[in-house]
Amino acid sequence: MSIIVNLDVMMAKRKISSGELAAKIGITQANLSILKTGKAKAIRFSTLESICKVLDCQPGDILEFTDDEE
Amino acid sequence: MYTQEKSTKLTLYITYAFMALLGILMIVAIPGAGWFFGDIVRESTIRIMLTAFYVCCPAGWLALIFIMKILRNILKETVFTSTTVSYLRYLSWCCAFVAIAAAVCGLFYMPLFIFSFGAAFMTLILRVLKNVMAKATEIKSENELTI
Repeated sequence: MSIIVNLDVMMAKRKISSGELAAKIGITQANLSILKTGKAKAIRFSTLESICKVLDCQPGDILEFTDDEE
Repeated sequence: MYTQEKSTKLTLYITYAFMALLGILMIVAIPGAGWFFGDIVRESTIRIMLTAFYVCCPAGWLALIFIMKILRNILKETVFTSTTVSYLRYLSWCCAFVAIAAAVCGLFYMPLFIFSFGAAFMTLILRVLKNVMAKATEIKSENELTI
């Protein structure tokens, strides 16, 4: 997929574990894993908002677009 | 009281009944055909009808097995999966086979074209159902992967 999720990079920068982040944004660790591994097909604005709030970042820091055709 | 589970179980029992009926018919068709039709139908026609029946029997068995598997999936609450879509596809193939077999036999005994038409129409309905189920499975998967 052309949208890359850089959540693990941001988590490493903020030194936060998966369990802690999942608990703070109110999703299960399994769903967070789906998000981190890029298996997710969509992300809710509310989830994105929570992640940005907890990690103190912008959506662009987590999501990145790359053109597959290039 | 009516529940969805009871309804599915009832359909499953009806499928078992059809399996038993098909099994019995396969055993008694040859000795019973002459008695059933008597002098109304010619012996050559009975032979064509019996040929059509026995050619279509394996497809009928397979169709009943796929129906049973779909119903068991419903009872296990695993309906919208690629497996169910495959079962529906195989079911439509079974109907298509019956349609072709009946059409070939219809060349020798015209009324069998009615069965052929019925089976072909059933194939079309099953194809549409399969397409709907495939789309529903895709939507469900997308919904599950929305975080």
